[in-house]
Amino acid sequence: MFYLASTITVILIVALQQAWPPWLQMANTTPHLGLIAVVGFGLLRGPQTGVIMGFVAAFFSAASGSAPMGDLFISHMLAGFGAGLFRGGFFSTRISVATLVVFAASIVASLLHLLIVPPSQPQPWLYPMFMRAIFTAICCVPLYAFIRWLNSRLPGHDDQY
Amino acid sequence: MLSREQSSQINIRALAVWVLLAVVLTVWQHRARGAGTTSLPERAGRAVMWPVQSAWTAALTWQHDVAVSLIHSRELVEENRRLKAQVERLDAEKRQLLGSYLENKILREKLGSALIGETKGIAARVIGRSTGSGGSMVTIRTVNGRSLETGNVVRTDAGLLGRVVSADGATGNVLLLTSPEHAVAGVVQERSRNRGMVYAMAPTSTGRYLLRMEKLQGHADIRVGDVVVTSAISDMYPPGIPVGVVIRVERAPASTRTFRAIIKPFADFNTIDYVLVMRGGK
Repeated sequence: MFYLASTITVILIVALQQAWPPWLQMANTTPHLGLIAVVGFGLLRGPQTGVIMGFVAAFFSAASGSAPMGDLFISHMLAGFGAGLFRGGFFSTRISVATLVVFAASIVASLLHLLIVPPSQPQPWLYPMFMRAIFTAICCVPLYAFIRWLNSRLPGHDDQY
Repeated sequence: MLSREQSSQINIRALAVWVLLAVVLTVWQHRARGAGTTSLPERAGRAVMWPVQSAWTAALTWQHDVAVSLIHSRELVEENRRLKAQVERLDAEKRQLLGSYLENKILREKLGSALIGETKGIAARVIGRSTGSGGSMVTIRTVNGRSLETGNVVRTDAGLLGRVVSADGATGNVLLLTSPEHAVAGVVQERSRNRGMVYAMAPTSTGRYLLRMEKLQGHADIRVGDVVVTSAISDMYPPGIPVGVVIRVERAPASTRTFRAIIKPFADFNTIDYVLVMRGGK
């Protein structure tokens, strides 16, 4: 039940990322919403759930956007696994911690994408990367709050907070 | 590196399966792209994602439209108010234009050639009639608001009516030919050119107004059917304005050597509503 609900949630969030309208962009960037979901479930449910959600988010993100799956699998599954390691740690369920983790994960994902799928033409990457990470961190606040609320209502919730 | 508790949470075998699956999907996609196609899992993923994506796009577009409407609501209300006022103003103009059109149509019907022809004048509407004897005075007002002057000549398409004896802006009183105090120098048009003074007669039992042309000498050549127009010897009226037609010639009551002609005026004094005011009368 948990995996069904969380998979649907991840699909909805990734679809929102793909449908992100231009008028909601910040510095011509769209937030890594899928990454927020992966980090969120990783922080709340542990590394294994993080990896599975990372797989789901990367797969649907790549499928809908016709992007190469390789770097998305690596970045998302790694982010899910890494966030899962924080589970049970000090303030690990706080939105501020999630925001910082998401910020870092966004930068890592952008760098990985840059390394694995380099652009055909040289173009500025540092500024867009940071702007996207900041935008993702901003979006993380409401989205992580929603994921945390959803997690508390799904089976397997351990009530540790 | 990992704590014991964390290590207990991780199922290495399960993780390996997911990683392996990821590798398989990546290789599958890579191969399919190399062959110029799309891999089956990718197509399946799209089949799931695209309807959801479309729904999000529709929802976000709707949200955008609502937000824009709310942001610009004050401007829209203001614009709506401005357009309403404009529509009301245009409606009023339309009504005014329709009124002018109808009035113009009536004027053309009533004054006809007098308006279109060489005669220069101002159209005026009869707004009152005097209650004096014989209804021999009417009050007129110009339709375009131009001022009247004492001495202006007043006529209809058919013929002479009288002259303005007092004026106040666009309104004036007209002394009609049918007034007992009125006299006008007339001349028989074209044929004999005999001259005489034209006076009013008392209205007939049927309410018809007639004029009489006096001081016609015995040798005067005047016949029934002759047309009488204003004479050039009078400085009251410009020459050549039709007055009426001779319907009868009779001997003058006071003299055996003079005649008088009874004239039926061209203008219908009973149904005057629009007139033409001509400048130039003194």
